Amino acid sequence: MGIKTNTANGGMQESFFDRSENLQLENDGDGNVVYSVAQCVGQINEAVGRLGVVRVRGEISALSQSRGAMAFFDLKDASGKEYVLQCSIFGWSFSKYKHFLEDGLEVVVHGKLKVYEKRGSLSFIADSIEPSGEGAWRKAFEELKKRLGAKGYFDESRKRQLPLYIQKIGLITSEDGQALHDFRQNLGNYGFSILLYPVWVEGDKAEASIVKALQWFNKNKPDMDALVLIRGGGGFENLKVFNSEKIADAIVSSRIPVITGIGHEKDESIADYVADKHLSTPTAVAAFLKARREDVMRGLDMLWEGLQEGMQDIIKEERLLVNTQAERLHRGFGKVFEGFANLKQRLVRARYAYEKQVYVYLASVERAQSMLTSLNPENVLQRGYSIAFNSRGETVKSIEQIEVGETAMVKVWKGKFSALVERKFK
Amino acid sequence: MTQIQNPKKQNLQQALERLESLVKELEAKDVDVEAGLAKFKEGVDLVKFCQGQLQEAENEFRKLKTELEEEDSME
Repeated sequence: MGIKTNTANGGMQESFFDRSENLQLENDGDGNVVYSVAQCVGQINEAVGRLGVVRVRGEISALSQSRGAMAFFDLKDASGKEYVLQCSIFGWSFSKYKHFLEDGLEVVVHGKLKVYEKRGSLSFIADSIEPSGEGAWRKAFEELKKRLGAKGYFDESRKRQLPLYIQKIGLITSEDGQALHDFRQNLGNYGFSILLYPVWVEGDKAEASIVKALQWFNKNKPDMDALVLIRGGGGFENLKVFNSEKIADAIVSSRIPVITGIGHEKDESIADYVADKHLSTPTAVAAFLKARREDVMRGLDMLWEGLQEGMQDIIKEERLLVNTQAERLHRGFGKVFEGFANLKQRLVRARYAYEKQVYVYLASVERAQSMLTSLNPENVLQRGYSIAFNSRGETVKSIEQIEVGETAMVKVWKGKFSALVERKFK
Repeated sequence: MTQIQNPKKQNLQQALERLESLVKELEAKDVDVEAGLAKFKEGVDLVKFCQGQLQEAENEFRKLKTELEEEDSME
């Protein structure tokens, strides 16, 4: 439905009037314009069409479930004035909202106005419906929470474990919000590598931009250690996008673990429930990452100490072992020395015994010597005896050993002489 | 759920795990000095590596440009 068209002279003119001029309109006798019904309805539709997409706040009433392809409800003025807009919505679109819609609920309906030609009634054709007012949001929130809970979205078993060492952070937040400032301020300087994907954190573009950011990191930066989705504090209106089912789906589908810190301490959101780790604020997320890094560093320090202590213990034990061995060795040597001393003593004793024995031998030798001396034949010769030897040099003990005429050698104490045998006597 | 792990991160985690097991091994009573020293030396190298990874350093902050984002998402 064109709202404005270019005219030949290049200026802009309202199409309503353009068309009016081009319509073949009747004039009555007084020169007043007379429309046909079709022309009139057409003109009205042209006029309301110029409004484009409108957002209307009101209370739902007379909600009727889908008749054929459509669903219908009335939107009453929320202040209680008796104004009503008849609304219709396509069935496929209605199915997204019907879980929280009920009579009396305050909502904001996005859609376009149109007069149904056949009935001549103005209808508000809704594209989307969102809860309005805290109560409505609370209801929608509880409803979605219940539904996603039933799908297992919040199960701890489904959630991804955060790596011990988080270094590369995919940051998803507004580039000029307080959240970004708080996050960077409280992270500490541990060489974190942060890649910010700027998104809208409230308003119409927020949902799509956050979903896109989550998908972008998974597709283009799968080596991120964690995705951090944060937003500073605000009213429920500011934070409501974080109760989006599409964002919940994107978080569940993310292969990279997602950490959230949305709003203030008390705020809770569907995104928080679905996240692999959720903290209360952007500052808390930064503090968590910082503490986690410090834990790893402390753990390393402890391991280092453990390593040194382990080694020291081994050395101490070894030293103890060496000392024990040395002592044993010492004791061993002691024994050797003792044995040696023993041996020495025994040797001394043995020498005495030996010497004694020698004396005994010497005495016997002396005795034998004196005995031998007494037996020496020369001693007999001294006493005047002599010894005769035959010519064969034998001691003559019998006359048979010598013949007459033979010369015998006679040995006396001093010298010897030869003697011729003249006669033998018996 | 399979996760694509950063090799550097994987190494740090592995290094820490190895360190932990080395400490346990060293604490066991029946390690002789020679084997103990070998473990200790390996541990010292791992500690150095981990310290290198974990040291305090300036954070790196980059902002994604919207045009780049459009290009990348069209790949």
